[in-house]
Amino acid sequence: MGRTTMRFAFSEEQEMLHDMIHAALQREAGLDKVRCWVEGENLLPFDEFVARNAWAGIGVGEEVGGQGGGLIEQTLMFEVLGRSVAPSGSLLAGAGVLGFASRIPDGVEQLHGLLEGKATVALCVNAGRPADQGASQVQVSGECLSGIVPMVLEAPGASQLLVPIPADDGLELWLLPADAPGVEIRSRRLIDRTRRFGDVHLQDVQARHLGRLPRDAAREVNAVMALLIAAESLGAARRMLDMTVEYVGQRVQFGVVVGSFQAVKHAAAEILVELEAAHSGIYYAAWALQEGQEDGVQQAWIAKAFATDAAVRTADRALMLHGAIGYTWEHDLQLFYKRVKLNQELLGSARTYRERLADALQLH
Amino acid sequence: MDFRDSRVDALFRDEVRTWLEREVPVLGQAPDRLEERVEWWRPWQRRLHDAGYAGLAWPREYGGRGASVLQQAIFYEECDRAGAPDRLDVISAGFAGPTLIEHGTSTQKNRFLDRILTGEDLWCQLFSEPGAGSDLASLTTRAVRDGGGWRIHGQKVWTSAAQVAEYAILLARTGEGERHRGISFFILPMRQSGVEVRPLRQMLGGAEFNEVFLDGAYVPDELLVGPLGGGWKVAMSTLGYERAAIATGRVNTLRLLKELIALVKNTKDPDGRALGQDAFIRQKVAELYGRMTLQRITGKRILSTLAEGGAPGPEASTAKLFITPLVEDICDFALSVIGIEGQEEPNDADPARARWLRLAYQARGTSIAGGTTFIQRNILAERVLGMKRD
Repeated sequence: MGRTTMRFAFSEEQEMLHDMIHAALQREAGLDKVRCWVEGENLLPFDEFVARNAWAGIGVGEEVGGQGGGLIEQTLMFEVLGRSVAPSGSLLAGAGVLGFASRIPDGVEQLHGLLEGKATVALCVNAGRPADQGASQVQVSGECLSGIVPMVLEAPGASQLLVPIPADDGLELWLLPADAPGVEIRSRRLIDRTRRFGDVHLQDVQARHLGRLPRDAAREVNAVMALLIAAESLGAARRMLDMTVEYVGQRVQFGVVVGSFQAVKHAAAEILVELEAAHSGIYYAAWALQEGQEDGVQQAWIAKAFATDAAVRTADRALMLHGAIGYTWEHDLQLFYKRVKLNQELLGSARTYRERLADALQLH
Repeated sequence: MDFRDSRVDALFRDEVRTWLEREVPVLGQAPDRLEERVEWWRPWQRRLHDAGYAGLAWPREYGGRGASVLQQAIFYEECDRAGAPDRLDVISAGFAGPTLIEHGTSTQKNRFLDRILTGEDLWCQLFSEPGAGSDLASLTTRAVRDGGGWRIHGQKVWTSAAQVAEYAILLARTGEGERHRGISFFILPMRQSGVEVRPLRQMLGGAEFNEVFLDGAYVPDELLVGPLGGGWKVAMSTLGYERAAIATGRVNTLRLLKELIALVKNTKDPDGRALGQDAFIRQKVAELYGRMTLQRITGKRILSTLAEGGAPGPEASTAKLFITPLVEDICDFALSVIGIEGQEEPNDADPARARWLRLAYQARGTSIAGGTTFIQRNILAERVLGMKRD
């Protein structure tokens, strides 16, 4: 590598990947399609589209059957997915599952079909908390698991469940088929219907022990997932800003377009300020985690806390600037609005990550 | 995407660090009064110059080192780390010099640039007027033809360091053209009759900026910069350098956060509990720490674009709007941790406390200088987002 200076910009290959994913989504998962899947409560067409393109393998090394690239590529993909408010839950769950599995010996090999999109594996943890806390609700007796894990992302429709159970200073990983005797998955309906959630009930379910993950490795995986959520919120927020600028540029009141009012311009400019800062933080964290830099995990926490909150502030300003039309079911803003609200809570809110950061800064 | 120093840059960083570690500790405390501080600073600047660190990113032909903007940034990072003296030549070497390199005649370059780098001449900026602040193009100071030069009549205001400056960059009207047309950009020698500097007390009591009354001050033709009546364009590049300097970090926010954390660790609440255990305080510090890292990363992002010879993207326009409230929030929070004693007039008894207070007030100045926050938002909305002018 003939690297001569510090560089922030994306490589040509990364730009191409971005454009390729963007074009594919526009072609096959436009807002009309997303709306149709949401109203029909059937996200399978998108899962099949992702499987055909093997997107679960983007950012995963070729040596384990992925498409190559690293976390920067994966982060880019999630930003683009967010721009399209695509039903990306299974990709997110998949990233978590792969992250856990790839950090134990032969872990990825044991998850047949995941990278090719032939199998969907849900990460059986409460999606409202950091994934590295594991499923503390589940008891192990011999090789049998029992307990109730609420709010598991993409549990409905999953073919397998990866259950990380807290053990001293790490997580024990267990794998079980979603249709095994003693498994019951009760769907939960969230306001954001582009993602599936369910409570997982386990009663004496026979499971396979995959291995043991140290605490730091689990934190890294959680940081990766948090970062991907942040990137997705950034993409959604950028789209909402674009929609807003376009709308206020054609909506006329008092004889002028409302976008010429300073109050409106300032609101839009404030959004841009936050999103550019989020962009800096997200891609720095992707690089730092990918390269194993010391501050990678912390920067991912910061990105999650800042970007998901900033996206919600964007959503509320976008709603205000659209006037009443933005408050309707038929306007697309609602899809993005609900998504960024959910992302704020997914994997733990900003408060959770700021508390972790305060701990790392040794405030007491 | 890569944030590590290249091999060459890493070597440069080592070199600078070693040099600063040897030179900085023997300097002692900077005097408070600006006039004394300038005299204290000049020998330091001379040593920087002799060691080849003045005008790092300036071209070699103008006395610089021709280094990359990244090495320039590395140098300032290391200065921050070593606790080197604050720069007093921000206007001369940061704004005026680069403007002359871009728009000046070769005579002007030969005459002024070297003395800027050695610290012999400090400069000030005579742009704002009582009636021309955010709307700078409405300025009314006039340049009237007199033989081979111009006589300047008018009043300037908010002029930092005018009392110690040898020269000023000056905007004045030379023609009848509307607004932007008819403005010319001059170099004004400050030490002459016809230039009167009156200090202005700021809200905290200090006098760092001034009013400058121009009553027939003389500028010869050879000190006109750029075309006659074409001064607006020259001024815009000066303001660009000013904003870039603010955005890429004239305030060392990392150091502020370290000091804030130390302050929190050393403070107890009225009931004697460590403040660092308070949930609200912990949230707030973490939030500020996070924003600080985002601001610094954005600074690197801007530099990396400049280093590749590209035009700065939207991040450069947003950076000032991100750092300004950040510095205000950090300082305000520190003062709230200190409590009512944080509102005591700065004194020698507690220099750390006085510094938070000064910084908190200075930050308000930064949100106004170089284009107020509200004006910057207009610019961002119109030029970056393409929204309609009103």
